[in-house]
Amino acid sequence: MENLLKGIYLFFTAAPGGTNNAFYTAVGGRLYLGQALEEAAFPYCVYSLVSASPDYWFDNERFENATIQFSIFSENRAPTEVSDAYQKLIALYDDAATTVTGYTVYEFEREGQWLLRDPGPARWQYVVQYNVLILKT
Amino acid sequence: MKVEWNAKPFLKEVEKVSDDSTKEIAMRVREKAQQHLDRKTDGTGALAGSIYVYESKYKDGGHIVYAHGDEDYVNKMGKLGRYYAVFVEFGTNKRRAKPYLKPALRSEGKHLLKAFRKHYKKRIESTHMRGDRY
Repeated sequence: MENLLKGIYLFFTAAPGGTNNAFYTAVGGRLYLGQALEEAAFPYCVYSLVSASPDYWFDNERFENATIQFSIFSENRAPTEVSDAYQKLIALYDDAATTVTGYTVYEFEREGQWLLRDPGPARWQYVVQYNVLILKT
Repeated sequence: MKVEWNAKPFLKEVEKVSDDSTKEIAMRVREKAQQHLDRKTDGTGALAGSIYVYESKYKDGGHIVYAHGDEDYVNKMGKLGRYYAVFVEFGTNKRRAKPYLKPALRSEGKHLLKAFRKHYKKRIESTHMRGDRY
């Protein structure tokens, strides 16, 4: 799973032709694993592994089935900033052709999303979950 | 000659079996979710105690596992009340996500077919679903 998490981050930071993707720009390049830095500026995004389990399809083929969560945080009064970043996130990661060392990525499918009013200093949180299916090469 | 078979009573039995199966799985999801909530996450056990299973009102049926926090739940971020459950599952900008429902659904949801098989078998073996009744 470590390679999957790395792959997700590298996909985020990739800058083909020296240009970052729109989601990277929207969150100012701030994507954290698990939890953000205390002093992180808004908006930012946190991603984490919600659950992972082996999945057997055919003989000797053990897929790893994982749920990945992205949470975008914004402190703007209106949810426009977080919604804009969400649109850019799904444009980047829906059916994403991420590279995971040692695995073939079969599926990177969005499972659901929730817009929440955050109780902390961040006013809004956009939660997006993906189902990822990978097979060891 | 035309022979008509009224399958309604039989289909009703099938529906009952489906309901029993989804209910069993929903109860298992609830139990597993409660196990995921350790003392560190849910010290008083208030959240674990407020996970419910109820029958869906939607046409397709099934059962829903629903979690909400204690009505009076307050922490340093203020009164979170019933919203507490969602913040434990998804996290907040100050608190790491501690998913308990989703992993429970994933691990228990895959037993649904097994549950169907078990309940159908039980029903068929009981007098109600024997062919002679229809």
